[in-house]
Amino acid sequence: MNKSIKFALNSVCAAVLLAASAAQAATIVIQSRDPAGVGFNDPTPVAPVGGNPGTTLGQQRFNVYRAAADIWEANLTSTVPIIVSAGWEALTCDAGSAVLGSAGAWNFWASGDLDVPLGVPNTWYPQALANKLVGFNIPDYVGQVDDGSGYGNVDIKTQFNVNLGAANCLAGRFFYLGLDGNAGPNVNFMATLLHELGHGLGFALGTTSSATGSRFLGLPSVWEGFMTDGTTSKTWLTMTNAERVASGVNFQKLGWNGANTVAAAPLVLKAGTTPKLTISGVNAGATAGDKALGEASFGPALNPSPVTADIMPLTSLTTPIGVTPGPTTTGPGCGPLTANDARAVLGKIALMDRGICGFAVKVKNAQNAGALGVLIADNLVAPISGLGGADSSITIPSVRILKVDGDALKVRLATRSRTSSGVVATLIAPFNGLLAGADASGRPLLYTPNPRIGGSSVSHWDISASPNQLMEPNISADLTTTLKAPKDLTVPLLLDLGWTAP
Amino acid sequence: MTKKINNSAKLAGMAAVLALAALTAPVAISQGAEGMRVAKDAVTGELRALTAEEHKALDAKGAADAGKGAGLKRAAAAAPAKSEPTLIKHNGSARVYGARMSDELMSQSVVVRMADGSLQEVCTDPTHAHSVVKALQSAPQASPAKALETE
Repeated sequence: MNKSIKFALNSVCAAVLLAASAAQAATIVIQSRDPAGVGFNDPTPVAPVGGNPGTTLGQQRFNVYRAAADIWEANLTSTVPIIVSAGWEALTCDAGSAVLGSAGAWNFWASGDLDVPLGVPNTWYPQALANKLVGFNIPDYVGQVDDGSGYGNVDIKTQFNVNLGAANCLAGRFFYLGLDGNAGPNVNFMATLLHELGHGLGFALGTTSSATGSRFLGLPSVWEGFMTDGTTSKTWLTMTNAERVASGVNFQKLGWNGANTVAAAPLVLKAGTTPKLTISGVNAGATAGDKALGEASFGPALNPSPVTADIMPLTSLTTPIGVTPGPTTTGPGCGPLTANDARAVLGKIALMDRGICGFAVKVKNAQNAGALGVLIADNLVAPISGLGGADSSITIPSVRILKVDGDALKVRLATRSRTSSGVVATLIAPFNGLLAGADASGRPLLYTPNPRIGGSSVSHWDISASPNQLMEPNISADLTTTLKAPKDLTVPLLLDLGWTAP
Repeated sequence: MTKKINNSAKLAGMAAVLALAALTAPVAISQGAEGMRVAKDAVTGELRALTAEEHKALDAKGAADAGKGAGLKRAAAAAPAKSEPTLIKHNGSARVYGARMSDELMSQSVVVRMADGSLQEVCTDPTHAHSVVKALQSAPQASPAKALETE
């Protein structure tokens, strides 16, 4: 067919489709590469699990693929079907580790031709997005025939490990094929698949090498324009190869500048806080001011709601119930507080020295006496450190302070009454204006470890993001299937690239 | 509280990955795509099929490699050096360029059973999968309670 006629027809078709459904949800077609009896065709009987009604292993595998595809379809629009080639294969594994699977955009397209107005001219786009932008299937348009593989022209190629859980392939740990996220000790296949399909839809650097900074055919990928280096203030578009390499290992300095993502970030990422202990009060004297602190690994973290009260020191050493008093068992806060100490710390912040028993034990005893919080003064001159330990029943905040600060406070507290001191502690973690996982300009950070980790670097969110994000390099257990604000930044990033939402 | 620990595990795990990421090194190609083995002829410098002796030697080497992480190591060694896409030579006349990726350029998720029995899952690429696995397997227990003094 004459090229201009063909394009005209394609354009008409595209225009009709666009007019009919300007916001048509995407359609994702899953094409199996599995032979009979394997993968999607595995007839092994299984019981339905976690909302997956399949009764064979093959059915359940396909149901997860379909459910993941449905989630992506509900988040993106395109008039051109997105083709995902899927195969279950014997991927590398041993007793302690395994390749779960892999995926990615199989073809990229760039255009400098006005007949094919593909996004930013001379810029590489993953095929699914490229098709969406032009409104037709580019391989068909250019007459591209399959390369004989059967999947040469697909948008996304995927493969997952058919042996996971078998002997010598992470034995006993399987793909969890439920749809409810309750993977338990197994691998949450839904989360893994959503993540990998995200890469295939465009969440990746693509055709540019993060190892060398070089570009395929000298053309940038669409991803590059959205990465701003916080040190040089340049995007990757304006960098040399060497500058791109350096930027790719500029730890926690590479931010995503896309408008959709930056706008969504405050809705998704936690506001950053800085823990703080402030001493004040009429009797504080020279102890007034902010003090160094170490946070506890138990109890509530300090937060923007302050806990403020007079500081009251313990005056007696105690021993746990049922334990014989002695030099290794009797210490500050180690047992139930004496009546005098209990009266003193009720509704106050208890001050006690480190030593003899665990930090968590001390805090729990103060909590039982009605303290609102605890300061544990180091008994050694040492750099500030945290309070280790665990006790899930502790509900009051506690921090460790330096010996020098503890000693100074005790001097000021010498003139207290039985129930007040006039030396006040405020435990707080005020917002610091930053988002957890974003730079000072509110740009979510990309993962840029030094040294570079191929496949992980630049093509994922930084692991400082909180809450955990689908497109961090590690798949966390607490991910949901919501891919946009207020839970996740995946869809906002894809919108920056050129996708649209229904 | 859970989040604190989760983040700590996340950070510790990835820190271990970072520490050993630089260990990945290119390995001479001795085994090509699955089911196909080739050798570089010492005289002509061209690729050719293996001799029976060379097949045996490669089999023996593979057996010797068997063990923890060896599977991924072999996979890394087997990966063809296809480090960039290939140009799609299409029949159209439009000035549209096509790039075909390869399996080596895909994102790849690996999972490791940690010493405490938990699983750590990381997305990397086929070239770096072995070093990522090795790093995670040598990572210390990621528990803030163990990192801090408790009394």
